[in-house]
Amino acid sequence: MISRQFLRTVLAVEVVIAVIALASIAAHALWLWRRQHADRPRLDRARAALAEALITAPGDDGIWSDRMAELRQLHRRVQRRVVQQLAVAVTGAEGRGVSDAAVELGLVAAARRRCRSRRWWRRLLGAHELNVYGGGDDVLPKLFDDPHPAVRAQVIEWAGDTRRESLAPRLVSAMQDPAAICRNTAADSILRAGAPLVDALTREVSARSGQEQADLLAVLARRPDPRYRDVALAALAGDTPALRAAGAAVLGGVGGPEAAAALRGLLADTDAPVRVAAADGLQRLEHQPAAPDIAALLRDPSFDVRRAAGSALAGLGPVGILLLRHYLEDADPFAADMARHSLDILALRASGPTTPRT
Amino acid sequence: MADLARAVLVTFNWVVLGYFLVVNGVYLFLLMSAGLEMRTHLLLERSERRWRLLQSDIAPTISVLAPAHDEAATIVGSVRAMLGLSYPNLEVVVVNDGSTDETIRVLVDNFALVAIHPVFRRQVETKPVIALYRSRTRPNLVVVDKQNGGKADALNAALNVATGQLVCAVDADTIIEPEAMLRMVRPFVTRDDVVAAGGTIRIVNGSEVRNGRVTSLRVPRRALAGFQVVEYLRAFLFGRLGWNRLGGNLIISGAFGLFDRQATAEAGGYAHDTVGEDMELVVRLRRRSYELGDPKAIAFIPDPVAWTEAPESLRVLGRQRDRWHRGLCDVLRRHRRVFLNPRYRATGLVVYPYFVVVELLAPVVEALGLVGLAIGLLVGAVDWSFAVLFFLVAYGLGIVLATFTLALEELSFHRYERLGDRALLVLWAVFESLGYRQLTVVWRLRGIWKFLRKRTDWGVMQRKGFTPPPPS
Repeated sequence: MISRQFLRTVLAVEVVIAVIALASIAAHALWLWRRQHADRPRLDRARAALAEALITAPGDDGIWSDRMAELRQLHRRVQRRVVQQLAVAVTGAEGRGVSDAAVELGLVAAARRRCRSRRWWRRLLGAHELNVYGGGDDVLPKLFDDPHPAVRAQVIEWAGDTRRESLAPRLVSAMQDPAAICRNTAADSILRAGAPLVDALTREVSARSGQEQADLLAVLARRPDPRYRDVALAALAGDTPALRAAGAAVLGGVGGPEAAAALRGLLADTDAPVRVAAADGLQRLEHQPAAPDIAALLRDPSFDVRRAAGSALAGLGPVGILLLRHYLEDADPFAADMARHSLDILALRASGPTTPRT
Repeated sequence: MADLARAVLVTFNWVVLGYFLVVNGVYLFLLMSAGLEMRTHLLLERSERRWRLLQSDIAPTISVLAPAHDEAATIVGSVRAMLGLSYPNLEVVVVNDGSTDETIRVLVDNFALVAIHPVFRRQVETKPVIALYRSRTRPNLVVVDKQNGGKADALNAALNVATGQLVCAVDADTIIEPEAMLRMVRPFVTRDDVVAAGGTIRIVNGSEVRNGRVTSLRVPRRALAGFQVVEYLRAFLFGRLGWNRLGGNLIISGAFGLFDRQATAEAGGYAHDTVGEDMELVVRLRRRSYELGDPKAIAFIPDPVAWTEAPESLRVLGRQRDRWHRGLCDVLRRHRRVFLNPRYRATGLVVYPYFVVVELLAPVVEALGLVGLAIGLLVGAVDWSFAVLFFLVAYGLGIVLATFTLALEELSFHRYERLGDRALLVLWAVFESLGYRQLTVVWRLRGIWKFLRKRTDWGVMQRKGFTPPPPS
């Protein structure tokens, strides 16, 4: 038989765990309730003090010092929250003022200390805070090689936000990071960084090859710039479909005298994603002379290519519409279906939004 | 004869004790795993600027798949709520699955739908599509009108038409929180190996709902709904979160799950001939990934929330639970080759056996334990004090798990803001093991019985509807 003593012991352990769980629920609920009530006036006071410091501080060191002293009296948690809230909302002189406040309140120093912690989540928090306040230029680059992907991603985000050409190689290298979060953050940061990095990115994309170049071109295609044209044209002769498709996507966005002819050549590519990118690119360039070649893709064995061809023709204006109508009677039922579908979508868009019955 | 009966009972007691120890050991492991996973989740969440990534151009496109059958009365509100979800690249695909009411007419009128020539890639076989509509006012809305084929068939039709990289299957009567998609897509952006992700389902009974949004969250005052709140919290915050860290999730709720569209279509979409199509798809996706030599994970994320209405009548709840257990039986039978098969690594050697031994057989062992205890008392092999002690230990564990889950909820999301609601939740957690849990044992046993008799009906789900705010 099962020993009674054993059951009693198990029961006692269960009671202890349940009591601890219940006590933690009660204690946390009360703590949260108290904090919510106590923090509200503190936060209001802190916001008012910081706002006053930012508005009146230039030219009045006395008010600045008083307000900082007032903020220093508040809990570090409240200081952090208020400074972070304001830091993401203001720019220019006021943004610099918030950064100064973060330095003066010791928030930057604390964040820098966190960046050196052995615990990943402290480093993450430190990197995040320095990204918000500023002041991490010498600490954050060291975290590009952090063992934790979340920390690396945070630093990649910072590099994109700084929009510094010197950091462009790090951003591009991060696109080959083993962790998806880092690769995606790098792609996003490159897109957000925009114009200031275009020259540096042009150099980077020219210096790379193969999959690395294809990945970067695929990102750059989302914010095309004429400076990418040469490398995109060269990519069309690449040995992988991904590279040719990425080159075609960039060319579709930047155009140029050679772009249309090069894209027309790709309509006969052996790989479907490349034909899709070429048809899409020619439509974006509104290159009507290519319409008959694109129309021929309505008979393509690949559904994606047929759809891209239909969509491209619909976007090419009267010539494209005439060809779509012509293909309504095509012997290939898939081509005729796609032509009809594309014309229906076009008619739907042309009819414009209507007010639905309510 | 009496000695033989006594010996059988003693042996049986040892078997039950062994089962009890194994299950408790697993639960303890899951408990710790859930706690650690929640901690990691919250620590990552603190750097909230990562949200930027989820809203950027590189975030994957999502198609929300919403099957509808005879839902003319509620479909407009449901579709509006889906279109109102916060996600940059969202498409909503509604499938009118052969409704006999005015569902399609209501949709056409309210969303200015225009029929277009139906062209889509038929990756999964479905009942014939009658028409395909697009909206003049909502460019991201697509409506498929098709012959009736059931929920799985409707989802497959939506899967064929969808263009998003990810698809989110939702029940039309589920309220998805506006930010839920942004949260749910996180594992697809941060990891390479995720093929599907699920969020948390919570019970909306007792709360106020306005315009498809939960505006005032309350704990239900009625015991049956209150017990289900605790049950759902335990299933999601303890069970699925715990398995998440161990890489062993096998279930994503059919009411709210995000799947890789390509992988789902290549795996054949949703199975028609099962009542557990959501779990079946997840197990198939997982199994297929092992067979293709590229193991994929099923992620559970605790903070995206979808709200559902829990049954408030024993009859309806019983039907639901019996169907769920039939679904479990069916899925485990279909994929029985995974059981203890090293080819499927942890899924075959740990997770699948857990689902068989703990999830599937628990009601059987629990019922046999109760019967054995009763017989033991009758023949005098067990005395009353021992029986009471055993009962307390067995059900005490249920209370421990429930209170631990509530503590996890309190320390993490604390969605119930009122102190009174938290106290009421504790009350439901304490009493859930007394009576309600035994009822679920009966319903699950009925599910096993029906499964053995090859019954595949869904039963009718009667819902009360969401509670509007009181008139001002």
